[in-house]
Amino acid sequence: MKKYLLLTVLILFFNGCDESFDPKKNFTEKYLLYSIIKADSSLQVAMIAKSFEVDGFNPGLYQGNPFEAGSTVSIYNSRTRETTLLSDTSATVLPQFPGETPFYKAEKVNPRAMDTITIVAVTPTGSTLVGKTVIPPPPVLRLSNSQITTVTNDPNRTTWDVSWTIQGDFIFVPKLTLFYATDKNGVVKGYRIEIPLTYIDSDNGRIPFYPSSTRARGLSFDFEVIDDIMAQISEGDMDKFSYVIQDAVFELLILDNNLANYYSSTEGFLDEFSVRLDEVTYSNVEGGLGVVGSTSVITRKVNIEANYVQGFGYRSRL
Amino acid sequence: MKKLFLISFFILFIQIFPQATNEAKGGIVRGFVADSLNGEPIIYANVFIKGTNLGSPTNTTGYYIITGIPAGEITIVYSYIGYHTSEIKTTIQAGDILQFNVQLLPSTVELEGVSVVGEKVTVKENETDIGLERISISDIKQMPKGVEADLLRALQYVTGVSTTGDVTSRYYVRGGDNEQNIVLLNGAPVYNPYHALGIFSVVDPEIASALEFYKGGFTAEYGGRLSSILDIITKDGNKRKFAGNLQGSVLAMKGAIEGPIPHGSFHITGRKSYYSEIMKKFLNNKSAPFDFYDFSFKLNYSNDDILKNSKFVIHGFNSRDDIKNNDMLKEDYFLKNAVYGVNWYQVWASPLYSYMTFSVSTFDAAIIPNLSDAKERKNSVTDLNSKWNFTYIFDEGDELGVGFQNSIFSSTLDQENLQGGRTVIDGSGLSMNLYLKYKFMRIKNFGLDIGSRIMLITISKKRAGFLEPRISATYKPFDWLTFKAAAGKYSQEVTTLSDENDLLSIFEPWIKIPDYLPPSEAWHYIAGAKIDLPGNLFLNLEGYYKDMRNITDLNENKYSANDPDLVAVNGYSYGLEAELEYRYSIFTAKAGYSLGWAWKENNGKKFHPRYDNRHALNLILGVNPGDGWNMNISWSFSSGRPYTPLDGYFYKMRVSDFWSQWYLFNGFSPGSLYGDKNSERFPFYHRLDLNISKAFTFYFMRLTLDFSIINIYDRKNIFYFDKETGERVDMLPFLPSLSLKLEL
Repeated sequence: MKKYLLLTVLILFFNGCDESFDPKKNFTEKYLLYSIIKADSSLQVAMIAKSFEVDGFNPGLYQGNPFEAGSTVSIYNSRTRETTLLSDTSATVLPQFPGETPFYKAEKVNPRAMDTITIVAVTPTGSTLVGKTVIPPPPVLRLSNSQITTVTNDPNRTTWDVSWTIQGDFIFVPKLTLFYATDKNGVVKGYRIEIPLTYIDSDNGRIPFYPSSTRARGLSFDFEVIDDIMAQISEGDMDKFSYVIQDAVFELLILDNNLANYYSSTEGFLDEFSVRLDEVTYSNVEGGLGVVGSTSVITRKVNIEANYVQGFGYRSRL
Repeated sequence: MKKLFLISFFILFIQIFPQATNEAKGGIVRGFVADSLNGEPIIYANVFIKGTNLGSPTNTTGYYIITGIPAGEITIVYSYIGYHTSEIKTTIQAGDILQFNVQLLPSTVELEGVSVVGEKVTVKENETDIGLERISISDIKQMPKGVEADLLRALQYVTGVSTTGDVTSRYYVRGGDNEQNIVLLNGAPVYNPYHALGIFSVVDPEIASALEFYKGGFTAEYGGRLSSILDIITKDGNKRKFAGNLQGSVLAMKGAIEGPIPHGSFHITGRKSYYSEIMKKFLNNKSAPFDFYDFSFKLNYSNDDILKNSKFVIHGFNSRDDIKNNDMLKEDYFLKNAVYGVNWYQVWASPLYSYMTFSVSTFDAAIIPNLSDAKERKNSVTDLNSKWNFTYIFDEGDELGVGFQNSIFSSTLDQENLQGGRTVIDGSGLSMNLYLKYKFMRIKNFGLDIGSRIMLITISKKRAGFLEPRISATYKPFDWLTFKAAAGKYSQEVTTLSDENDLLSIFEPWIKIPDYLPPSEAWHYIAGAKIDLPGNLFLNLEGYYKDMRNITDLNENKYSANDPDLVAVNGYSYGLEAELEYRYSIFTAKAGYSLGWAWKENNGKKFHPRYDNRHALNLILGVNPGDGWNMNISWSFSSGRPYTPLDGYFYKMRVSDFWSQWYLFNGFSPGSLYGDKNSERFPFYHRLDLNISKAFTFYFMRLTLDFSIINIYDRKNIFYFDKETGERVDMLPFLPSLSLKLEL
């Protein structure tokens, strides 16, 4: 009997001592700088935000807008030795934040490949944030065939391949788009369709698999997929001759090392069960957090072989 | 120079044996001690010459040897708790080598169906065994179970062993990382000793006959890891009759069969999971479609007509874990271990004992992404091992040990990174190590084990050193007081691609430490005292300091394929441990307390790793009232684990549409801002567990019903805090479990 009593007392004693726990310690306000310099644009933007605190542990409950104007933000190009001040008078509406979200903007800033760009932001509180990026150089593209066609005498060739060479560590985002038009009763309409790499069979049918960000230096488009896309554009339309196949455009977006690292650290995927703590988000901003990165784009127009186009009953631009 | 040294050593070694034999002034008694009912070797049985201070415990094969016995009539006494004591009277002359293979009959207590609670292990008074825990299998079976009796989980009750949470059976020894521990199965390494995210161990306690767990300061015959060695010796199998058992828990079914073969025996076990829903208790209520099995076999052969005093063992072990989601949009996993080996034990004509092992251990694991966002990863490890260990025992009781150990290790890690880039980290190499040690045991109250490992060839290009000196000493100034101390250098050339931040990890690849890093190394310094207090109380005190260099951690700043996966960091740990043990009649009580500090230092910043455990207290009370009943209750208390505090939130830019003109406006998602790494601690951890078992005979079967409760008072011990979601995840809740064992 005494044993049971003792056990009950123990259970009550210990059960009553579950301690509350607060993992939050010292909130200190930090500034963030985000800017992605685009080599294919003369308009450059930056955003300045502050860290924040909420009651509880759901940051989604934050009701404010962490982005703010009022900082002095400048872009310095070490090649031209020009410093351009960004104005803070622009704002946009981002659905997740109340009111207008301010951003910093400079026009007529045209960086070139390999330019070193430094962004310096001095916040109203006197904090200085500095981020630096080097504009990615253009890669050299190589195509397995200068024209797209799936008609070949080589039975082993089943893909149309693109590869590129470049010095340095970058992430690439490739895209192949087919441009075509319909000419019906003199009315010409232009269309575009992105060509997937392949199709994957799943329980939900065939799923197109498009190129995504990659560190690989090349990719292959299945002939079968190209044929399928060519057929698909006029599916259900008996008037094949009204379709004019113009060309395809291969685009390669190059993310600089900073943006690549940032992307890797924010888009990490572990698995459903593993638990890894304290994963760090990449930052190259001195004096705060955030990222200053850059991108460049290379574009190559690729002809669609005329005989191949005509095989579908279409007209070729060529 | 090195070659000359080796050749000189071997010449010396070969010369010593005949010389020592010729100079023998006393007689030698040796042999094996086994259980008379099933023929299993009795490990740590006490053998001594009546009326003298000469004696020796049996080793893990049941072998004993007593040297320097004065000529005349002697009585040899064989005893072990739970067995009838046996005596042999004989006459011995100087230079005689008498062999007695003895079988002990289990005592009447045992025959009435009461298991022995907490077998007290017998060792020589001057045994140099600081840092060594001899763990009784019966103790493990009687520990409260989290669903399954678990060998590695039971280690967490050993003083100086910590975890990052009771959900996992991964263990950390005296401030060293998990990968610094090695599990040996009959001398062969098991690379992934865990089932199901590390929640259970692959080695079922049913297959083990003895465990030797070195927490540090291990002597020259052991190497390859910085922190601990767990040496599991499996059962030989019943040499008298065929027998078998079946056991079921809510998680798995398992069975074993054993029996005699001509000149030997066999023992085969198997376990298969069948109900993975119970895993929800361990995985924060997530369903995990785990499916695992393990299988082991051991064959023993000993035929004096072919080779006198020899024993050959062929053993094998297989385990496999699968996670099959049966959904092409989710990834699948598999992990498998395979260990096969041949062991040869030989007692030679002179007082020389040899132990040779040849083994191959493989580990394969893969993530199969299917159509999910997961990336393909494959890891493959092969370790071909051979060990040649010789122990020569001099007439005065001193021992000379020499061994040659080599390993051909190869590992491949083939993985696709987030952006589809493939990297292959492969490495292979040969290690050839020699060890040489002299165990000075001729003085009854003083023992000294001094030696070194000689790293002839290392797997790593950057070797940690040529010599790894080891020393271990024991001094017993009074009958009630023994001082012990040890020091040594240790190195490690393989590592995992994970660290203590991986609280749960399915995929934990093993690789050779890459050539851009030096191998890890450590120095251990240990000192302690053992005090026999009045009234069946034993107090064991140990203090340690461990200095670790070039230990591998994941590179937190790896963002691209070109960044190294691992970085070398330094660390050190120190602490004090106290164990108090009381044995009387049907009661066993143990209390273990450890006070420890563990540090890591990376880029000039010092921090406590997550397994740093400042205070830990384990109290265990066992009662064996007879009639098949056993009760065990344990209470564990420890400081909270370190964690990195939350210093606020920020909005992360999401790069979702690469082709958008306005990247910055793609969207933002909230993220957490961290404070200094592991600078705060969770609240105290404590938990009360209970185990009750009852064995009884039902017709021709022996049944054992086992009931356990983990966390009786449902203490909410925090496991981790998900800073991204704000979710607090606790460790094991109130968890009752039942298992039934049926023996034929």
